[in-house]
Amino acid sequence: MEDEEIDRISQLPDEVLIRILSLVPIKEVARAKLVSKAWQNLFEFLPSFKFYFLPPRDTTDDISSFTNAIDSALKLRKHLTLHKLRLHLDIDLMGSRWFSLIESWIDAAIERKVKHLDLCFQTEADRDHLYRLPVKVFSARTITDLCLDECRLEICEDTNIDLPVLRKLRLVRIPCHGDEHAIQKLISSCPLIEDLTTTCCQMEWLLVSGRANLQRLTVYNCFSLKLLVIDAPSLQYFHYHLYFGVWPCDIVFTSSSEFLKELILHDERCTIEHCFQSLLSRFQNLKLLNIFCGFQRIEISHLRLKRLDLRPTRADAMLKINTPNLRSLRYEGNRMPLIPAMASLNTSSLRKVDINFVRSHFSILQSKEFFEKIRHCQDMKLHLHIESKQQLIIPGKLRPILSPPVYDIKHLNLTVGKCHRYPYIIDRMLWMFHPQTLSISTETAPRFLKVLYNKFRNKEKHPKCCTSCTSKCWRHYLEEVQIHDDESREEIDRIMAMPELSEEFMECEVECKVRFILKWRSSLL
Amino acid sequence: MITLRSSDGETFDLDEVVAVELQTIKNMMEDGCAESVIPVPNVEGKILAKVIEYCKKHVKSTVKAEEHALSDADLKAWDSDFIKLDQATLFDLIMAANYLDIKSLLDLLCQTVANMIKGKSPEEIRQIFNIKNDFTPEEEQEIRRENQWAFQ
Repeated sequence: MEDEEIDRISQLPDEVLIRILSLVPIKEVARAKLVSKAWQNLFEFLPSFKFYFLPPRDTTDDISSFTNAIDSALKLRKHLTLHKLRLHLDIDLMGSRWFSLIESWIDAAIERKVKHLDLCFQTEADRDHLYRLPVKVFSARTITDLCLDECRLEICEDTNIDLPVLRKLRLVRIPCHGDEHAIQKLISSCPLIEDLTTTCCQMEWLLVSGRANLQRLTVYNCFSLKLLVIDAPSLQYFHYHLYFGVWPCDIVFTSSSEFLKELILHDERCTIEHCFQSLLSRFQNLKLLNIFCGFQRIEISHLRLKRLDLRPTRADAMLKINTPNLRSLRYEGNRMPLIPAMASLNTSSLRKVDINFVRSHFSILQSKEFFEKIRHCQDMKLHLHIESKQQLIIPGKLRPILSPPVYDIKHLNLTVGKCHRYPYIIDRMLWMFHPQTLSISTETAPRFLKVLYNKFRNKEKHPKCCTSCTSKCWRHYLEEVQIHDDESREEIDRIMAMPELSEEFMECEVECKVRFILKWRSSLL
Repeated sequence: MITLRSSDGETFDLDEVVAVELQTIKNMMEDGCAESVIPVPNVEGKILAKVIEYCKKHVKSTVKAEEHALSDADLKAWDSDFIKLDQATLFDLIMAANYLDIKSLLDLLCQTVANMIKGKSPEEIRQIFNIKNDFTPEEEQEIRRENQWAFQ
């Protein structure tokens, strides 16, 4: 008997086949009921169900077969524990006549001791007409992960909240304005909570108190927030993101924060500028600081900080960094704030540097000191964004005394916009840097890539140029160029194949990062 | 050092640190039931060899991690080579991983089969796995009707 003819998959134990099917999207598992009788019955044994009813893909034409499917999936195997139920429904599309059935599904899931419950009731309606979440959810004793999106919580003073094993709570687009006590009551009723996220919930204040196990707190885009009080002695990660702020927010930590390791602050509108300094000084054991902000003054003075990810949005920001034990620095922004700050930074522990000078002129002299300070870093990446050749002009009197490579950068990421004199840019670039890897980003003009590739291809083994110059150009130092991977090669082939003046070429873009590996000699060829 | 003996008599020597990747073996060791040679009656030699190959690569020893640190990307690449198998071996491996309770291997193999199923029509699934269609046309119609939402 040949192996090809045996149906081996149906011989697998049911629990293994169910495990395989739970990795397949639910609609396909439902379609797979048609495969054979054995497969037909497996659907209702799936441990997790993720049902979506969202426009434009779903319409009300097939709604009763859909609701029947959820109904039978949840209610047929009442004694089987349900691991996860996700319902993402557009209630405008479905209509309120289904609300009692939806409630029965939530009941069924709770009866089946569901662990992860993820409910989203998408709607365009205003807050008074959002779906009212059945209060039963708050006494579902088996839930460990709860995510509630766009619904009314209806928690009042005598609501019984009993969530003894809840570890992770996510509240998204929950109308909290005026309802802050309800949210506080919910949080206080989860003794084991470890991870709390509030996203786009418009409360004016939030009190996270007495939560001994809370390790992660994320407050994302809650732009009405004026006061955030945190009493969480075990907190390790605090993320505060705000894309646009309405008014300043006070953040107060009332317990010691000795375990806080990671602090991420995104605050373009400076809603927490006034409390940033005091926050930073509270977190004595902070290891990672990620800050993207529009502050005028950014002062980072920290003894133990190991990783700093800094993105100031203001080109005139005053930056002061005093972090003697910093191992990794990532910077994205205008070069102006960083250069003077680096002058006084103790970089002896620094091992990894990733610099992206966005839209900055590349001043040779100032940058020289900067790069001297970080030349010992093993892992160094520089992103340069060139919009015009002016950015790379080297003053005439400096050229004789600056022999290539001017800077010791191992990994260079280049973005070159549409401008003129690509050959000039390439020559200057490869005078300043002899990187081991050169990556061309997807925002680069395709023509630049073409010019660069041709230059590499046409370089002679023993260049005959620069005979009268004391400083020779890059061609005299470059030994070998390799294309890093198949994807890069395919992209180069694609761009090179297009005729110069064709519409196709005029409108194309570089679609994936193109990487070159360069081998350089330290002495002349 | 632990020795495993397959159903067809082949023996395989494993460091303890590799052997504990097989939860079934680990439980035996912790309960004090592990003899010097452990028979594995449900698994053939050639399949057991592959199981052990996987476990050796994925062993989570701190010592090993420092010496021969395989990056996540390298490990993923090795995994995608590892799963290039004929169906017979694939399913034998799944049975072995299930029996020996090796979670990461079972996850990898189940995902592999799931990827073979994804995006295929029921007829295509039958063809790939040689499954016999035991529905009457009427029964098929009924299922299609009841599950209209899935065929949209």
